[in-house]
Amino acid sequence: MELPDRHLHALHTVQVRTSEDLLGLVARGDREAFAELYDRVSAQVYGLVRRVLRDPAQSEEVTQEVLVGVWQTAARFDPDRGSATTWILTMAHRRAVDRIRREQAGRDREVRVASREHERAYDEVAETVETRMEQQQVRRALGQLTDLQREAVEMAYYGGYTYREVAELLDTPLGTVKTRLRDGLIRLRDTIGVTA
Amino acid sequence: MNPDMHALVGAYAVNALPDDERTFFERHLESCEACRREVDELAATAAALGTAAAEAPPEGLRARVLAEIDVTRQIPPPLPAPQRATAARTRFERFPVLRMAAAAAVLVVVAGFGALTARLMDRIDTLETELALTQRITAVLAEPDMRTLAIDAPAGTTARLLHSPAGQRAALVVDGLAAAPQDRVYQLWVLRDGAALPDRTFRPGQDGRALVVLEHSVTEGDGVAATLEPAGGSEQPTGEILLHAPAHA
Repeated sequence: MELPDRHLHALHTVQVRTSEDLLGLVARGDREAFAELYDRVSAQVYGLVRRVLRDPAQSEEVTQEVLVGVWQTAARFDPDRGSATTWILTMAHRRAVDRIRREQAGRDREVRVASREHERAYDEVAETVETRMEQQQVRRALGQLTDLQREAVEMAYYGGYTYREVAELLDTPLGTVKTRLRDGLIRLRDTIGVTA
Repeated sequence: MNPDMHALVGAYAVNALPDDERTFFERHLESCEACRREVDELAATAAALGTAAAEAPPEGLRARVLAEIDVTRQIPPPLPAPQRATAARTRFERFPVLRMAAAAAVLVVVAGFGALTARLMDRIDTLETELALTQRITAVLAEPDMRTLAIDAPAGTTARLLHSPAGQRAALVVDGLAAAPQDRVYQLWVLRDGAALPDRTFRPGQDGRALVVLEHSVTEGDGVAATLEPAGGSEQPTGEILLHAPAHA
């Protein structure tokens, strides 16, 4: 039959470029590759930045900074060290955290009930079925942590607190916070099944 | 091998280190493969936490980003072995003082890392920041074609721009610069094609001195300027130009 043959042929000739491929092209100034990469990652970047910064206007600014930063420093991406998405989201998280520390130096220091607040935020943000599934997966993985590990990880990751601030807020020794962050992330890594 | 360093891997992976500790930890990463591997895995885990929060950005952002990249220079991919064709004019005789300061800072850091009191840690934090800065400066100085350019500056202030045309790196060295008011900060700009690109902000030390390595790549066609801006820096210069190194032909 002709139809399945054509279909199979199409599958063979379509080449889906990985995000790592795109980033390599971007490093050499390929604007079209950048536009495609933008379409793939901008929602993740914006969503993450928004989780940390909350404010939509600031989130938009920082998202722009991050994406321009991806263009600017694509040559620094080392595929041996991790995926393009990890590299981009790490940059996004770092800039969001830098911004929140600059902007909110005097912010309110009440200790939030981390998991309840973030459950609410999850529901607000879910737009697609895939996102909802990913959120469930993350939530389930976070559920595998001890309460203390989860609290430390959430405060650091979503709250943008330094480990010293976390220690101060929770009235916990520095060493304990460092350990909880590390152990918590290791546990998450094993649950989510991530390798760099 | 310092066990304290390895304990910071988790905090680093979620960007929970204060700036000065982050610099020091990144320097550690350069020479510790075990930590690097663990950081890479935990960073991927942290990114998974981030992936789940996706949300479509506002309309118009895409167009703005694409417009901005058209006027944004990219860092070049790392060069292989040096290919310096230009004549070298080095001024290393000027800068042994910096190397001595770096060595002294290293000694104090190594001596201080035993039992830590909060005050000692603060002192170490400061020295680590200075050390990291000195290393960035040294990288500029190490370029064989590095040269110094005079900068127009207010009376009482001496300023020079260290520039490597081949490496496209530049650093500002300034002495006798007036302190920035409480709510303001000096900001560097790279002047290119009629535009002013925002670069690092800084405040001079008590002695009016500052060493700042510019983030942007800087070529011979670029100018460099410094203005006073509101704390946190600006997107476009609002203050008057206080330091100015014009573009070279």
